Amino acid sequence: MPSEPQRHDTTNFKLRLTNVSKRYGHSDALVNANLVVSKGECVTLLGPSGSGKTTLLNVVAGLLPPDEGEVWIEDRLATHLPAYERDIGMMFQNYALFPHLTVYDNVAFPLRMRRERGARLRERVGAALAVVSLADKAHRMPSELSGGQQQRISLARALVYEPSIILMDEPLAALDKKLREQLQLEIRRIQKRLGITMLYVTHDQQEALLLSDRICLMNNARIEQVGSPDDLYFRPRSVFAADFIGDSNIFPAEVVTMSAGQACLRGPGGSTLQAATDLALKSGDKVQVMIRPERLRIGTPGQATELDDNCVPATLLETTFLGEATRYYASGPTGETFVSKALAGASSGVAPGEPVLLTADRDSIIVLSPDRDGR
Amino acid sequence: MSAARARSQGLLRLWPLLPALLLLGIFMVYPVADLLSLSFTDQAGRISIQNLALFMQRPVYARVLQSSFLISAYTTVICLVLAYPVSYYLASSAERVRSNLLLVVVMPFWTGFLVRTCAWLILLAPSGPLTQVGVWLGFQNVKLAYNLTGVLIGMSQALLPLAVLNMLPVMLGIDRNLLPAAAIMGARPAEGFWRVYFPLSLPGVAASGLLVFISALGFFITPTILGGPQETMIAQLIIVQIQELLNWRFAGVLSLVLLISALVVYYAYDRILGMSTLVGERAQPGRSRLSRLFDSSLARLGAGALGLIGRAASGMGLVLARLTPAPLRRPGRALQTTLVALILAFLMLPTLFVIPVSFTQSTFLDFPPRGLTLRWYEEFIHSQAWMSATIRSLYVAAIVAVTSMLLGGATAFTLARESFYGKKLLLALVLSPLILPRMVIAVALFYLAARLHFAGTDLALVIGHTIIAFPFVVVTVMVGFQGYNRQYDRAAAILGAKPSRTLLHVTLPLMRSSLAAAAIFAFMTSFDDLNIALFLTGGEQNTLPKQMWSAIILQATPILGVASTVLLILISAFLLASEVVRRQGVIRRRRAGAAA
Repeated sequence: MPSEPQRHDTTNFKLRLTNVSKRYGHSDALVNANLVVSKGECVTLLGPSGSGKTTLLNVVAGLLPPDEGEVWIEDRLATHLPAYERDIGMMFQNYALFPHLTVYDNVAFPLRMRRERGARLRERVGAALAVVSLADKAHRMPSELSGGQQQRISLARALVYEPSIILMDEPLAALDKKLREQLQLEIRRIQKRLGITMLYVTHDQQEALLLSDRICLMNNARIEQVGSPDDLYFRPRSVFAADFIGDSNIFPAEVVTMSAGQACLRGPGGSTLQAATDLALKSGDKVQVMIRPERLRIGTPGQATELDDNCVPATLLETTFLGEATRYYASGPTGETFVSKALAGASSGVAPGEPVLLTADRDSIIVLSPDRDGR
Repeated sequence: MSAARARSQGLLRLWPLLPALLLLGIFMVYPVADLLSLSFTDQAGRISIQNLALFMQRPVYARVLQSSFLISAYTTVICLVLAYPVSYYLASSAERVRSNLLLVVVMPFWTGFLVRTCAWLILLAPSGPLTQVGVWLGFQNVKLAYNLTGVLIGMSQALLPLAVLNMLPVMLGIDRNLLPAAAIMGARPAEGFWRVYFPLSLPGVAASGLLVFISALGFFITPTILGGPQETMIAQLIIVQIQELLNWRFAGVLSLVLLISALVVYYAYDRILGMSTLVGERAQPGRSRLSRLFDSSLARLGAGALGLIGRAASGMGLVLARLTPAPLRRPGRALQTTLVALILAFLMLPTLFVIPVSFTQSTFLDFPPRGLTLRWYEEFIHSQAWMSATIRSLYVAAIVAVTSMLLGGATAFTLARESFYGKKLLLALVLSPLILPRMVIAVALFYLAARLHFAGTDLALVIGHTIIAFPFVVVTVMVGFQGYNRQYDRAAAILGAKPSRTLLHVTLPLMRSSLAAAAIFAFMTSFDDLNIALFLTGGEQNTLPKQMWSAIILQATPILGVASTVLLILISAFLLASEVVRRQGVIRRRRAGAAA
C-alpha cells in the first residue's frame, strides 16, 4: 500500500464504500457493500439484528478491518487507516462517556487529542455544549446526569471537532419512548442546522423514516435497497423491503403483458392489475405485488369506476376502529387476507360477511423483484 | 400484635447470628483486647506505659518497624507492577481463556506460603540453580538469599495473586467501548490507555496495593527463611517475645503496633474508597446524619484525591505516550502474551522444584537432585511426627470446614436476608478476622488458651482456625446470594412450603455451588495455616505446616521436599475439585437462564 493517501475524484461525498466484505469463519457478516454518503446527508442503516449494519459501521469506524473492498473518507483511502487517523465521530448506545472525566473534559477530549488548547478550546467546548443545551452541566460528572442528558453530551463530544462524518450506533435504543422521540427530533434539527454528515444505525423503522435523508436497508449481510424514506415506503424493490417497513398487502401475480414500463398482471381470482414498473419482466413471469393498506380502498360492488382493472372482489371479515383511522380486513378470492386502512369518518357501511370490492390506483400497485432466496 | 412483641420477634429473627458472635466475642475480641491492654500494665499488673516506652526507646524496634514498612512497600510496588499487565491481559481475554488463566493465578495463592518459600530456598540458595545461573552469566557476588533480594522475591511471588485478584474486577468493570471511543476521537493507543484506561483502573490498583501492603506487614515466614538479620519484620519479633522470652507484655505492645499500623492503612482506604467495595456490598442507607456528613465530606475528599490522581495520570499520559518507544506503542498481542507468560511462570514454576528435590539421595535440599531415591518418602511415612501431623492437618481442616459452614452459612443467610439497625457494623465485626493481622489473633488466642490450659489441644486449633476461616464462608455465600433470586423463596412460601422446607428444598439446592466453594475455602484456610498452629500446637501435636516450619528452622532435609510435594498434591486436588464445582454451577446457571 502506498504511504501517500491516494487521491480520488471527489464529487462532494464524505464516505464511500466499494465492494466491502467481511467474513467470520464461514459466516458472512457483510457481502459486497456499496454505499455513498454525501456531505450534509443523514443515512440510516436499517435492518433486523444480525443484518450486518453494525459490522458496516465498525468497518467505517476503523474498529474492524474489512476482508475486501475500499473505504473512502472524503478524498482519502481509509481502508487500512487506524481509527484515530480517520477523523470521524461516533455515538455509542451506552454513551461511552469517560466516567472519570467531567462533562467539560469529555467534550474537550477529542480537541485535546488534536492539540487544541487555551481560549479556542474553551470556546469550542462551550459552543458544542450550547448546541445540546447543556452548557450549565459542564462541571458535572457523567454519572450525575440522566440517560438523555448523557447521550446529548455524547452528541456534543462527537460534533465538537467537526469530524467528516458522525457514526451513531443505535444511540437512542436505551432511552424510553418519549425521550427517544424528543432526541430524534433534536438530533435531526442539529444535523440539518450544522450540515453534519451522519451514518446512523437503527433497527427502528420509525426512527429511520424520521431521521434519514436516505435509508440503507440491510438484510442477511447485504444491502437490500438504498433510497429516500419515501422511496422505501412507496417503492420498495423486494418483498423483504416491502415487509420490513410499514404494513403491507403482498400477494402473488403473473405477468400477462409487458410494454414500455407498464405491466399487465393477473392477480387474485383472475383479476387484472395494471402497474408501472421498471423491472425487466416478460410474459408468464411469477411476481409478488404489494399494496399499502392506506392505498387500498374498500367499496361496495358497483361503486368501482374502473370496473375491470385493479379491482379485486372480496368479503369483509372484520372492522377495527383505531381512533384516527379504521382498518378493514377482507378475504380475497383465493382466501388471502387483505388489509385496508381509511381515515376515520368515511364509514363503508358494510357489515362483516358482506361482499366488498378492493381497488387501488395504478401507481399504488408495486411489483416486487423476487428475493435472492426465491421467495 | 404489640410493638414490643414485634420488636422482640424482630430480634429473634437474628438468632442465627448468635453462635458466630459468641465465638468472635469470647475467642477473638476479648483475648485481643486483653492482650492489647497488657501493653499498658507492668509486671505487677499496675497501669504503666513502661513497655510502650521501651518500644519507643530502643532503636532496634524502630529499625524493625522501619524495615517492616520498607519491605512491605517494596513488595507492594513489585506486586502492582507485575500484577497490572496480568490483570489487563486477563480482563481483555475471552471468558474461557480468562477462567483458565485465573486458575493459574489462584493455584499458587493456595499452595501455601510455606511450600513456596521452601521452593525459593532451594532455588535461591548460594549453591542453588538461580545463583549458579547468575554466576554463569558473569555476575560477581551473586547473593539471592538471606538478604533483601531474597525476601522481596519470595514475598512478591507470594502476594502477586492477591494483587491480581483485586485488580481484575475493576478492570472487568471498565466499559469495553471506552477505548474504541477514545481511538475514534483521535487518541492513539498509548494515549487512550494512559488517559482513559489507566485512570479508570486506579481504584483496583489502590485496593490491591492496600491488601498486599497489609498482608506483607504481617509476614514472618519469608523474612525468616529468605532474609538476613537486616530483614527482620515485626511479626518475627512477636514470635521471639512469646516463644523464646515469654514476655507477654512486650508481645502485647508489638501486637498493638502491628494492629495499629494495619488499621491506620485500612481506615484511610475505607474513607477514600469504602470498605464495602471489598465485599461487593452496597452501602446501606439510613445511618445517622452526623456519620453521613462525616462520610460524605471524607468520601468527597477521597473522590477528589482519586480524581486528582486520575487527572495527573491523564496529563502524564501525554508525556508517557510520547516517551513510550515506538515498538512498544502498539504492543502486539504476541508481545503481551510473552510478558504475561513470563510473569505467570514466575508465579507457577518455582513451586514445582520441591518435587524433584524430594527424590534426591543427598541429605540436603539441593537442586538438581543427586540420584533418585524414595528414601525420604519412606522416612516420611514411617515418621510418627510427620504422619500424625499430616493426619491432624486433614481432620482438623475437615472439622473446621464443618464448623465454618455452620457458623458462616447461618451468618451469611441472616445478613443477606434480614435488614436491621447496625447491620454494617455487624458485618464489619464478622469480617474483622480477615482484616486483623492473623499474628495478633493467634497470639491473643494463645494468651487466653494458655491461661485456661487448653493450648496445644485440637480444640484450640479448631477454634482458632474457625475464627479465620468462617469469614471466607460468609463472603462467598453472601456473594452467591447476590445472584440469588428471592422470588424462588416467595414462590415456595406461596405454594405452601414452611420456611424450613423452603430452605431445605429450594434455597440450599440453588446455592449449592456457592456453599461447596465456601466449604473448600474453609478447609484450605485451615489446612494451610501456620499463624494459629505456630502457637496453639506443640510437642507431638503438630499440623503439617507447623511440622514443616520446625523442620526448616532446625534442619532442612529433603523430607521437607516430600512434605511440600504432599501439600502441593493435596491442595491442587482440592482446588481443581472446587473449580469443577464452580464451573458446574456456572453451566447450571446458564442453562437455567436459557430455559427462562
